[in-house]
Amino acid sequence: MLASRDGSRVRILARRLLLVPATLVGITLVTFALLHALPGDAATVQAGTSRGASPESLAAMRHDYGLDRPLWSQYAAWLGRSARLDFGASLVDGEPVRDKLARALPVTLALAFLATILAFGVAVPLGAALGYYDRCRWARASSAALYGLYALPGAAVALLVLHAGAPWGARTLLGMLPAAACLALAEMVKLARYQRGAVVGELAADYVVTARAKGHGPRGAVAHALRNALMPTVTLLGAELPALLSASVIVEQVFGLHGIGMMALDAVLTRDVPLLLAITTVAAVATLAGVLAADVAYGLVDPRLRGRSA
Amino acid sequence: MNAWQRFRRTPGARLGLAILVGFVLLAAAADLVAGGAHTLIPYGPEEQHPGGVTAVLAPPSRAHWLGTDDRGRDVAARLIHGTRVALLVGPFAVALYVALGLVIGLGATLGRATDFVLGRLVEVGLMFPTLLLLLAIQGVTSSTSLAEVTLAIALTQWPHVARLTRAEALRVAAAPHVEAARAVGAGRARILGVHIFPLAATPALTSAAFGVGQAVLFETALTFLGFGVPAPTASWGELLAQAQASGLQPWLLVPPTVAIALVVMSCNLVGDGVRAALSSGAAA
Repeated sequence: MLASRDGSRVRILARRLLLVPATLVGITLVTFALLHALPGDAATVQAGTSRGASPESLAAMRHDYGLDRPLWSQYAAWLGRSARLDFGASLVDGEPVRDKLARALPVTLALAFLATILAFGVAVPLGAALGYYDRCRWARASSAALYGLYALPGAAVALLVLHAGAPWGARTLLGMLPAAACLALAEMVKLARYQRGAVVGELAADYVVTARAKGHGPRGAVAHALRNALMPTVTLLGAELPALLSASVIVEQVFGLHGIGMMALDAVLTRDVPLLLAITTVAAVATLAGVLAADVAYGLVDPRLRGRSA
Repeated sequence: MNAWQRFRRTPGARLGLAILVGFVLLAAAADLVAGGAHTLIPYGPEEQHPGGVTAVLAPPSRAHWLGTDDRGRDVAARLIHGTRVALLVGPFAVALYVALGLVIGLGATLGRATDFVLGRLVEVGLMFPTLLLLLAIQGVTSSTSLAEVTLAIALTQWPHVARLTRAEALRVAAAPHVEAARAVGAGRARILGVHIFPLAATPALTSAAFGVGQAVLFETALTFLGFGVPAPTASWGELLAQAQASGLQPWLLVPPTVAIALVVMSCNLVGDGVRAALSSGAAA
């Protein structure tokens, strides 16, 4: 039975991996079509900086960019280049998009990494404690307070933290910590609530009741329950990456961090189509990776699913 | 226990509902409360410099209970009128995407091929970081309006509803009562509409109440970034943007934050109540 469960897990993972390219094509295709519905194209954006471009030079520019070709062939060409990590040049300053991404990505990754550690590090013990002391008045009050925190708009929290003296435009990990804390807040509350619910549920399960009947102390029971209660939290983490990236736009804007979120904001304002396409693609790849990582982590937490054959 | 009783027994659900009703009344009566002279707050939301040019970014006073913004507009009046934006965008966006998600989610029961195609569509939708897609959509439609903000939120949120509905629809489709209906010769449309839909819609409806709060947060975030509700319209996100631009004056920051938090929290409380009400039998 163990082997069969293991096998099915591996098969599910393999199927997921097979679908990754299909999902990526879908996401980029939607973005591509969406951005090409923009009024005006790369040629008019470029011409905007050099006034009085003649229709002939516009046509020549369109030919250079391949904009006179049908959309599907433009997409195919873009896909081919992107597969070699060549995302073209920014329409604004002509800098290769790849270089721009290489500069912004570490900032957002550091921010997301810090936020994930903070959210997880606080939420798991907090959720477990709230679940364990569910009958106490202070635990109930804390749960209610979490409810209130969850409802706060991210922009307001970030502005308040900035006002309280957090550094603006930080370049070190330590300096980014307050920004990461703002980013982590909503996720932390969400995870803590799940964790609390899971612990309450597990503590009522038969195996914990049995453990206690056999004389295990209450703390031993929690240790038993925590492991199982951790699973939904781990799965959740992978699925939360898109939300984290979204929230990152606000946090980066408020804290003056030049990450992917700020870059996306600028790219929309300047209609930098190649840059926006690349950002969406990178975000999608990161999200897919997160979901897959959660699948693997799920297997690590649950010993029944731990890869024997894998 | 009927559904209403289960709703009432959920802690906080009635409080949330009461707060929401209060906000709806405030939005409806915005012009009566703050609509210019002879109202409780004697300024309109877009009235500039009512107290002379000097009254810009003035702290709260007897004349302006919540101070004024960078154009000398009364913050209290703008806060009250901002309720309208939040309460229009939130519910409409949710209604749109719940409808879309229900249709696509129910489509999963039409056959394996349809399910596969729709499933990929949902997967693609789920992978998009919401705010990035919202920004891209707002970039496409160069001028922003309330309707476009609503549409943008709906377009990014339907996959979540579709996924919930699909799982439930497939579960219900395998239930004995559906088999019985098929055995007595019920048509495909009747089975889907009468025997599957009412049961499969439950998770979507539960998530709808939470969704309104999230939609309000999205609208605020978009407007804060300058891609949401267009300029002169009073909205909570715009007040937050003003708070940032003005060097964080507390009278610009605190009122919209409290208003947003109250609405979102009430939506979540009502959502808990709806979940309890819709889960028949022994509910926690």
